[in-house]
This record gives sequence, C-alpha cells and structure tokens, in this order.
Amino acid sequence: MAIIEGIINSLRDLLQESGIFLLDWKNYIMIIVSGILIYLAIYKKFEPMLLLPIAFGMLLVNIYPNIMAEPKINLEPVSQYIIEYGKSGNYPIININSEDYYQITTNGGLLYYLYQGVKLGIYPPLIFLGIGAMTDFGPLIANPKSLLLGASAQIGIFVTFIGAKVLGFTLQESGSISIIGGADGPTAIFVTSKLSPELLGPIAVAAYSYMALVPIIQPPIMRALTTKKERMVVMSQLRPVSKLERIMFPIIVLIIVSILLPTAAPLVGMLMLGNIFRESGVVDRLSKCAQNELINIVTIFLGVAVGATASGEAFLNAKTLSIMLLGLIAFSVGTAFGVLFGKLMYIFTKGKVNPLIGSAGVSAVPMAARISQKIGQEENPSNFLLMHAMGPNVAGVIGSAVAAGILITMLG
Amino acid sequence: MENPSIEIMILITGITVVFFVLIVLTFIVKLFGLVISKINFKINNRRVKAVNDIDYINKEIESEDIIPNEIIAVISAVICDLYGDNNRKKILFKSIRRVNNECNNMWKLKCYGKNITDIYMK
Repeated sequence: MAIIEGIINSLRDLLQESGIFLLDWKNYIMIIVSGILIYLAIYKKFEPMLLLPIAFGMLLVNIYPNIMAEPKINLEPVSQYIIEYGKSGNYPIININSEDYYQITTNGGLLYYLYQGVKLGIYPPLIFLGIGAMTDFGPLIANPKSLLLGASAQIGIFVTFIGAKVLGFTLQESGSISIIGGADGPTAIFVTSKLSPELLGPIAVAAYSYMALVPIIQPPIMRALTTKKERMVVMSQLRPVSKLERIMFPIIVLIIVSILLPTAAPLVGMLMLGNIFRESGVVDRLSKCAQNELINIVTIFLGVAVGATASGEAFLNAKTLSIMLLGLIAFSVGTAFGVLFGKLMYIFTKGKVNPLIGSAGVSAVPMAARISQKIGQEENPSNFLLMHAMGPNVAGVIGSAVAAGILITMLG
Repeated sequence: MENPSIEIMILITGITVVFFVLIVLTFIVKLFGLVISKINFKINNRRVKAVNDIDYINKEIESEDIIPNEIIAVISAVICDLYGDNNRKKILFKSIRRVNNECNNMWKLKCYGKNITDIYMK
C-alpha cells in the first residue's frame, strides 16, 4: 500500500513538474510559430542556415523554458542545511546579520551559456570572419563607385529609425529595429544585443525572413523606379584586379573605417581578416576553416541561442507586429534609395551605369545581385549585370557594418 | 515623438557619416588602383623597351669579335633578373661564345650596357 502510494506521489510530482503544467497558452502558440518557421526553412528554403536553428531554439525554449534559465545563487542558513542533510556542505559561506548562509549555485540552462556569445557580441564578428573569407571584393575594387551605392542603400536604416520612433519605440529599440534595413543578419544581431537585447528574438526572425523575401520585395520597387531604357543599359566589362590590390584592400578598409568609426571595428575588422586570409593565398587552411567549420559552428550556436530568446512573453505582443512592419519598410526604403542613387549615377555617367545595380546595395549577398541580373535580363537577355551588381552588394556589407557602428556610438 | 530634433539629428548625422566614410574609402581605393596600374604600366613599358634593346644588342654582339667580361656580366644579369625569355638568352649567349677577338665597336656595347644598367637595375 505504501509502495503504491509512493509510486502515485512520484508520478504526481513528475507530472506537476512537466511541461503540461509549467507551460501557458503563449508557449503553445510559440510552438506553433516555430513549427511554421521550420516549415518555411525546410520546404520553402527561407534562409535555412539560420532560420532553422532559430526556429528550433524557439521551439526548445517554449517547451522547456528553463533551458534559458540564468544561474542562481540561493542562500540557505548553514544550521538549516545541516539539519536537513545531516552534514555540512561544501559551499562558500556568507555572513548576513550575524548568521552564516551557504551560497548554493544552481547552474544556468544550456542555451543560457550559448547565449553569452550573442550577449557579449562574439558570434556576429566570427560569422563576419567567415563571410570575409568567402567574399570576392574584386568587382568592388574594379569599380570603387559601388561603395556609394552601398552607402545609399543604408539610408533605409535611418528612415526606418524615424518610423520606429513615431510608433513609440525608445531610441535604442528604434536603432535595433532599423538595422534590419541593412539586410545583414549578423549585423542586426550584433546591434540588437548591444542596444536592445530583449527584442533579439523578433528582430532576428524579421531580419532573416525578409532576407529570404528579397526576390519578392525588391523587383516591384526596381521596376517602378526605373524606365525600360535604364534597365536595358549594358555596362562595360570590369577591369582585371591585381593580387596586390586584393591584398591591400582589406588592410586599407580596416584602417580607414576603424580610424573614422572605432565601434565598427569588430565587424569590419573580422570581415577584412577573413578576406585577407582568402586573398593572401598563404593561409589556405585558415581560410577554409573560416569558410566552413568556424562559420558553421558559430551559425549553429548563434541561431539556437537567438531563437531561444523568443519566448512567448518576448514574442507575442504588439511590438513584434510593429517590428515586422518596420522591417519590411526598412528593406523597401533601402532598395528604393539604392535604385534612386543608381539613377543619379546613370545621369552623371551619361548612361554608363545601370540603375538596377543600386538595389544590390542592400547587403543580402548574393541574392540581391542575382535579382538585379534577373530584372536586367527581362529587358535584355544578353545583359549580364551579376558581377557589376556584386560590387554594390558587397559594399552594402561594409556599409551596414558602418551604419551599425554609428548606431552603437550614438545610442549605446 | 516628444522631441523630434534628436531623431532628425540622428537621421542626418547617420546618413552623413555613412556617406563620408564610404566616400573616403572610394577615393582611397580608386587612388590605390590608379597607382598600381601606373606602376604596372611602367614595368610593362620597361619590359617592352628591354625586348627592343636586347634585340639590338644581340645584333651588335653577333657582328663583334670580342666583348669585355664586365659588359657580358651586366647584360647577363639584366636578362636573367628582368627578362625571363629563354630563347633570347640562348641567342645572346651563343653570340657571346662566338666572339674571340678584339671588338672595333667596343664603345657601342659599353654604351648600351650602361644604358641597360641605368634604366633597369636601379
């Protein structure tokens, strides 16, 4: 009888500690949301490299919230501990009001520790190291004016900043939301972790979702802002770029940007470090490691940890809807300004620059460049704009890192 | 928005700084590209001149009887260091080996040898 009673009590205790009693309705809705994101990542291939770990992190934290629990220090009176356990403990002792207490530490959850890389701003620069090792800056070096197209696309960030303030967000929240317009996931996460970490979940989901939606968002804007004649412009072939230029470029960029804007140094510095690994040709193993093992490992940790910040309380509120709307505005305005600056260059160069490459200044590499190519080929099938658009595309990566540095400097 | 001036200030400052940084970068990358292309142009031009000069020297050497060792050494060094055309090297050294008498036009070779040294070895 006592055994049966014991079994029933144990089962009841287990049940009461299970998710069935610990979870509330917000958690269940977030589980459904994470399911939708997993579907989008796997079947619709929406930036799966990051959206899948983010969605899975979201699922984990909403099924088992303590996976993100912070470590705690509990204070227990020494005398009470000895009575309860029959022996003294091996914990640090602190004296409060003439009574001794044990400081008993409970460890945090797994994802709490992985999240420290996000909180301390470590993972995004490491991802930029891998991106730098994968990026060919040749088209940009051959046509440095592309940097201006990369700059113009970042106007979307600052316009969205105003929009976010109008909707009632604080300055720091507005800065975090507006960086979605840079179309750069690691940059968005880096800025948000510094300015407004409580919005990390919705901003990361918004940033990566909209990056995947670039083929849908950009084309109507590009067609609306350009004429058929402008879209048909065939640009002259880019000049060859020497090895010395490719090696000096990351050094020059690092020095200039870090001197003018030191807060951009972590992102730009790691981007250029990765690039010099690639271009030097003497550290092939490091370059391959940065492009493969390192970026893959960090992507997993970053994605899961960021997803785990998307608990029900953090995600299911009116702010998230506003963030989604503002993210869309940021992307659209960035594309528009890129194309408009491209039109300006078309006028100043007397028709030598195709304005479509301006939209690639939104740094969704290489998707935005491919969209420029595709829209150009709709008018002229023999027009190959891809390499020309890659210049502004990679310039946008530098531009968004610079914009991030500005926001952190002014709002941090 | 209680105090729109802060937001406007951030908007204008942010856009200005982004453009400023990237304009400076554009200028410096363009300048560097121009410098590199000028250096390459000069080196290529010198190489073209070297081809023409060595051709002329080859013809002169073939018509001479003897060539002082120091000139041979200079010309050989120039060819080896700057100009890796094995066919021309063979022709030049073949010409030098043929020569075994005092050269009437020694001054001409000295002059061309000095020219090559001045232009290419510095």
